[in-house]
Amino acid sequence: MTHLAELVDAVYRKTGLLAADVESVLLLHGVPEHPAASPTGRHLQLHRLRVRGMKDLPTGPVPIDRTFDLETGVTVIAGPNHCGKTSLLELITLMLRGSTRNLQPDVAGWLRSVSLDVQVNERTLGLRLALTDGKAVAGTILEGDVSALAGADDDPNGCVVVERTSDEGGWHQALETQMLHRLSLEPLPSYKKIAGREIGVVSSHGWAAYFAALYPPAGASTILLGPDNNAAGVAPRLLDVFLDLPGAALRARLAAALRLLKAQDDVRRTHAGATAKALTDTTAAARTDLETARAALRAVEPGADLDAGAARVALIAAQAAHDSALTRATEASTELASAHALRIADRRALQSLIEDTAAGALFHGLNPQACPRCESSIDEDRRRQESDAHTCSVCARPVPQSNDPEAAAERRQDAEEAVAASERAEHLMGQAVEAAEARTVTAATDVEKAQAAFDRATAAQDDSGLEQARRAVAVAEGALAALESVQITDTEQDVAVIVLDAAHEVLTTTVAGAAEDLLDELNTDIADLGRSFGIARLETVNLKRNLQMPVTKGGGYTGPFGQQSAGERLRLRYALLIALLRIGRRRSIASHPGLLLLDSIRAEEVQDDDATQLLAALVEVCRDEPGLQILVTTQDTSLAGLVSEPPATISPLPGQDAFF
Amino acid sequence: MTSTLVDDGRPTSTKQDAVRLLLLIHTASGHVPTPRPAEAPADAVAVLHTQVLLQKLDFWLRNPDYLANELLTRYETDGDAGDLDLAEHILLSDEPEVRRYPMLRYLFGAYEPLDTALAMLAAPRLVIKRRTRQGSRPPLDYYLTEQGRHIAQTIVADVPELAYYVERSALVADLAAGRRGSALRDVQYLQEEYAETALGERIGGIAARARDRLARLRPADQDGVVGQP
Repeated sequence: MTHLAELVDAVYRKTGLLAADVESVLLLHGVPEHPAASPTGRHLQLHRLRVRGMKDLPTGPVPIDRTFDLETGVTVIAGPNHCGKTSLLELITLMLRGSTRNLQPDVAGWLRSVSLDVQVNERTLGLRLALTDGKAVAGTILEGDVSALAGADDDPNGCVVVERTSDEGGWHQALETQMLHRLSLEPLPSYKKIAGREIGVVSSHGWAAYFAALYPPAGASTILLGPDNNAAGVAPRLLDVFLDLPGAALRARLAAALRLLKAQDDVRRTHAGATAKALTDTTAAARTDLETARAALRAVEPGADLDAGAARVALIAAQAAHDSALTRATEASTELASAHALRIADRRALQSLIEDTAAGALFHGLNPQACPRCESSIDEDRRRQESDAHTCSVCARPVPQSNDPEAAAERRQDAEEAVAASERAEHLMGQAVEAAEARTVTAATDVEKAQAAFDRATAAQDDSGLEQARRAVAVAEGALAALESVQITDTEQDVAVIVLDAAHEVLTTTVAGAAEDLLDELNTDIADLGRSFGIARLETVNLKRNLQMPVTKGGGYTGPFGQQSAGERLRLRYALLIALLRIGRRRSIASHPGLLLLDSIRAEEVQDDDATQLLAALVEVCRDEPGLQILVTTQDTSLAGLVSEPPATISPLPGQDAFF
Repeated sequence: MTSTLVDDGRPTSTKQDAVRLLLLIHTASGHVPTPRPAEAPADAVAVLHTQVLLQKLDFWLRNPDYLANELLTRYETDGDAGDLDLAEHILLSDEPEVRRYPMLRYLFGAYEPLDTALAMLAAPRLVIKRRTRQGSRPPLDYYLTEQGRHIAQTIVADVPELAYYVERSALVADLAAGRRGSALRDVQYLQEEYAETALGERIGGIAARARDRLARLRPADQDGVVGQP
């Protein structure tokens, strides 16, 4: 499950994605097309260390030049405090890792050159480094046999020059390249979040991280395996690699790529989601706008077909008709009043005629008896004159003859006919008034209708009316159509993320399956070694692939690795490394390269007896594992002598209290 | 027919005036006092005191709208439905217009020079006017003679053409009911059209206002047809 075809097939079955798409993604992320050849093994063995320099003592410059020949098995570097034990390990680190971990500044000051001959698998390399003021200036990596290399400290001496460097960075990079390549190790990428940023970074952990398994931290550290500045996830990967779990490095690489891609994808999808939501909201608003515009248009549309000009003419005509009807009604009323007055006059005339005639007949028959003025009696002469000469017996004027009855009847008939005529005229005028008033009412209604029609027509044709409403609808329709045509599909997960996620899962399952029985074996070894190293009452350890390691001691008490004492932590660290090495040998898998630099195995917190037991156990481990090389520093110069089979020992030269 | 109408300045003919006055004096006059006044003619059978009273009685006769309005007033006071009916009859007909003979307003109220018409009654010795012999401005009294009464009764009995004056003079006399002329003038002054008429002008009509009053006094749901001609 560690090469392309297998992984494509597994991911295809898991995701249903097109195989071609899956393959593209996996190829781009460096899944090898063919199964990588399993490394046959990893082996590092130091042969010779030569340190040269010039010390400025009060008595004058003193040249330094010491050579240490190193064998397999345990070598105890013993000497008092500040004699340069740790500096020896640091110089090995400078040469083998490419940079020191914590070299004392005074040593760096006088150092001029260092040579280290080291076997890497089947080849022997000569590492040569010249320094000035503690800084690497010129480096050479040679390859040759051990004896040739021994004479090639200052010139190649027939050895192959593999690489030359001219500064610190170059030296470090050269070791990184050579060691990873020669030991079949891959850089371990890891994803790291960065505070305040949505997307983190992938950084690579190379040879320096692996080197931490060769040169573990001192007793007080709580780190079980790996570099001190434990970058997220790197240490468990080291375990996977040293257990030679198939696909472990690939899985680590895909995991980092996946986390980075996922972070990028999440950001993209979050933004796309926000955009999609904004689009949805805007579209809904546009839909509402369109409905509003359509409602406004419906309100003014009924007047759309009206001709404002015609409506205006109709209105004027209706107003004219109304005015005319009003005028006619007023005229008719005036005429009616006249007819009425005329009829009254005719009635009065007739009445007066009748009464006057009757009164005349009555008074005519009466003879004047006296003068109304003086009341004198009317004498007989005057009466005779009235009778004979028809002169008034009172005022002597001619007396009107009694009315001709026929003429009187005629006058009365005329007066009656006049009354009848004026009554008919008044009646007709009354009807005319009623008709005119009815016409006025009708005309007023007509004016109201015409006015309403005209108002509608002008409103519809007004620019602020129909046209504007139509434009508003068109604009709203356009806006909605544009919005609806936009598709936000970016909310879906990136195919690469899906593929990597599935591939990572497949590899995780594979790696976990392969790790299962290896871990059991490893745990047994760690516990055995821990006990042999002097951890009292240690029963079991339960190392997991995430490097959690609960420790169970006598009485069934179980506590995490970090809660063990410093001496116990140191022993468990050593036990893990040696167990890895052993399991590699046992199973013929490429595991730990078999070089351990153990500083200060006898720290303050470690009892004398325990240190002796630890050293004895290490000696025994080395006897069982040919090729294993362990350098141990201690200030207890008598420690080596306490072991039943004393190991090789490096001490200051006789008469000196320091190595340099 | 133009001779006796408002248009020529006199609303009625002298003969009509004479008949009207004769019937009013006949109807509204009372007994000649005892002992008989020295100025009373020997053939006088009744007397009507003062020209003011005669003018006021004549005002009602010549202005049917005022007459109907006074009937409504009496109806409101006495509640006699006959007065309401009669007022309605007058107001809903043409009578207030046809029978309206406007009078001038003078210092003592409605006034119309009556001398010509009275002369027509004096010459045949039907009515004789005499001044009471007392005071600086003695009022006029109108004495009805035996002959005057006879002629009045003839009109009442035998001249249907003049029946209107007979009926109305009786009604007016009844409305006046023995009130003095100045008391009737006060009643008539209550009408603002009457009171506001300038001296020497003809007094305006109150027909429209009287009809409104009638409509209020007899609501439409009663048996009348108030408001319809």
